[in-house]
Amino acid sequence: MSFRNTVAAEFTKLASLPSVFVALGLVLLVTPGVAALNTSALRHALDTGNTGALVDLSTIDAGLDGIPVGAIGAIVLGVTVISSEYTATRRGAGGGRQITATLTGLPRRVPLLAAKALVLSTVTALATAVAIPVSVVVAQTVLGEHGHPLDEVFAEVGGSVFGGVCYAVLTALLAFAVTVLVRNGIVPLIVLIVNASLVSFSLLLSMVTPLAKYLPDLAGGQMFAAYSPVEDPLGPLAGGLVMAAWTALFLAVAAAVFVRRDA
Amino acid sequence: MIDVAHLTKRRGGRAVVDDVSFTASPGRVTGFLGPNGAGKTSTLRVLLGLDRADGGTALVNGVPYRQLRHPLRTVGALLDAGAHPSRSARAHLTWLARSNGTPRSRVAEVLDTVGLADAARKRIGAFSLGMGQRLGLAAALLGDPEVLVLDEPVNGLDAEGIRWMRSFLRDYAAAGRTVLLSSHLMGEVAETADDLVVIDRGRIVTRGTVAEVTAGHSSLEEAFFALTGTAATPGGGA
Amino acid sequence: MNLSLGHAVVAETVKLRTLPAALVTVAVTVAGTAGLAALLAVAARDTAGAETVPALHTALQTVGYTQVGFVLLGVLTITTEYSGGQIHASLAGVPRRMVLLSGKTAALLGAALPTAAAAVAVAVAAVQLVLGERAQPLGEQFAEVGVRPLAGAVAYLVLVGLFGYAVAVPARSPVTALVVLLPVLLLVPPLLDAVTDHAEYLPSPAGAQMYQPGPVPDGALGPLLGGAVMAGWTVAAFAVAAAVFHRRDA
Repeated sequence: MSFRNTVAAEFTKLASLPSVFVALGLVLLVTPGVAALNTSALRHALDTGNTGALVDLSTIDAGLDGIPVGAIGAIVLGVTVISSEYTATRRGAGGGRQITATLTGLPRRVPLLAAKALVLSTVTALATAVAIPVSVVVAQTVLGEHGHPLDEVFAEVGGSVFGGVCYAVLTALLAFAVTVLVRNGIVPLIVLIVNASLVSFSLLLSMVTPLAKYLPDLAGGQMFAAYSPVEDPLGPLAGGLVMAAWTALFLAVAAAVFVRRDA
Repeated sequence: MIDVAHLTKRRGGRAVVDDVSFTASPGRVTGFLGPNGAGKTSTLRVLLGLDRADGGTALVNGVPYRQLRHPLRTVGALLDAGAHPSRSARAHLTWLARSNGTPRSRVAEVLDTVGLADAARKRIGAFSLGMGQRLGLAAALLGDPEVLVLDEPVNGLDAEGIRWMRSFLRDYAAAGRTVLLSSHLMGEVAETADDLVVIDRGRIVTRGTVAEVTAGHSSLEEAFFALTGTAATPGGGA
Repeated sequence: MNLSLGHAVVAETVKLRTLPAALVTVAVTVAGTAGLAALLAVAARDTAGAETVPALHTALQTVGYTQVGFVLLGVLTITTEYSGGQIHASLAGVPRRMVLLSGKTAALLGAALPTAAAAVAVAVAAVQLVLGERAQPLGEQFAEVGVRPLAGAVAYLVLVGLFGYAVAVPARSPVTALVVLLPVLLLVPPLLDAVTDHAEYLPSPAGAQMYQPGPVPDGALGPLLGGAVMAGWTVAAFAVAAAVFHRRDA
């Protein structure tokens, strides 16, 4: 099975790249870290009764706030999977790039991209499937007496945990597709990290047009967030589907360009 | 068996490869000669499915490279020795082996063949030019291919390495396999190749056995300058 | 001026000016600022109701976005040396590393300062243009807040570019540098702000004090002190960059 070989090769490649472990570390540390920070602010507010500064006072889904920030690790992963192909082999003598070796070994480009996307999705899903539940547990621990029994919590937010995993996987795939298109990780990295912040381009657009709710991050955020910055949000299922449609569109364009392009 | 027919490749409106045709036969070393910018590397990139042809065909054993099921088991290529700098040589060859379902035991074998066994765990980014070249050759040999395509293989090799490469390629062809070797080093090609293809400004200027090409000239070098009409210039491949 | 430093500054300026990525960054930053300012003006107009809108306030909101362009400019100034091995040629020409680093700093300053001034100017112009008659008269606005916030915005943008450059020297790779810088500037301050009062001493919130229009709220750092704190971070980052660059094999 040739596609199995392609997947095996891409997995071996990923597992022998140091920056991949940095990206996975980001997912696994940042997601619960942000959850702990936000939840301790929430606990302080609840303890003192001074809750004016916080938008979301719900305690049962505390711990999901880390998902968009932790997704930076997923973005780095998606960018690295393809930008590493275009990194110069030697700093000194110019030299080649790994893409030459990759394409001589695997000249069929659509299966190659599919294998990369599959490996990327699997690794991202596994990492966030650990990081997000850990964040929920961390948040409940930080909440102390304001917290809830864990079985109750997971019964309530189980769907959001799954939604968070889907969000991270789709974010990684979007970063991957944009990097394939521009052959450089800088642009997707900037756009996607900035959009995870308060000066998000999507948030800005949502102030101007109601159509902003169809942007990939605002739509996809519906899969796990109870609170939405946009009016009349799409809801988890529709939001997830809209983000998936964006991702599919970008992947299709990236594949079409990658197949035609000289290496 | 390599069969290039009426191949054309344009970059920015200019034909860098213009109606190029030649064959490289089993059991022989074919030298692909030309000055800088003549179109050697562009031809090889199309042959290896990296770039698209604007016209004509470049076939390996009768099929385009992109249609080979396990290309590394058919063709071994050394182009620019591309690899990610932060991986070890062994990790690089391991993923490449897996991509074509080649047994992992080949990794140690080819590292040994090219003399990199001691540097197997070293970061590729810390390799010297010669070591990088050996790694590229190791990658080419991984699938034990019947066709070898090498672009400037002796670049960066020391005298001993060059001599080793020469006898290695001669033995490879003697076993009935096809070797296509591009180079700008005339002396090297004259001692290694059986057949020659000379390219200049994207066009084939002559092809034939070494004896045929050099007939009427005192040396291959003389023949080369007479055919290409260029002054002697130092430097690497096109 | 030291003669070799003068040469280094000229060489680095030529290098930066002939770098397509730097030119694109500058162009996209200025054009993007105009576009964002127009968007913010539309949003401000929609929420203002019948009141006139203070256009300077709206224009200054672009700084949060525009800073990304300056960070990238600073990062590219050094990381492009490493993408193709140009650093070897650079160090062969200017072997004294502190001279090379200073030359680059001066070149970056020379590029960032006019770009920052242009970005702030187009932001004000774009907001005024979108608001038209709905804008509060400019003279009235300047009488209220003075030119200090605009000058502060230019200073902030230049400083954040220098900070990005200094952080990118040890990082060498643009991806690594941006993965550190963007979260530190954009994501960490609001996160820490929720749990500690000391978050205002982080580089971006401290520096933002320079372009906050209106009177300084109680307990805030204020423009001068805030600017000084941000400059302090930048100097510290330069010290680390210089120490690393001085010792490191090229």
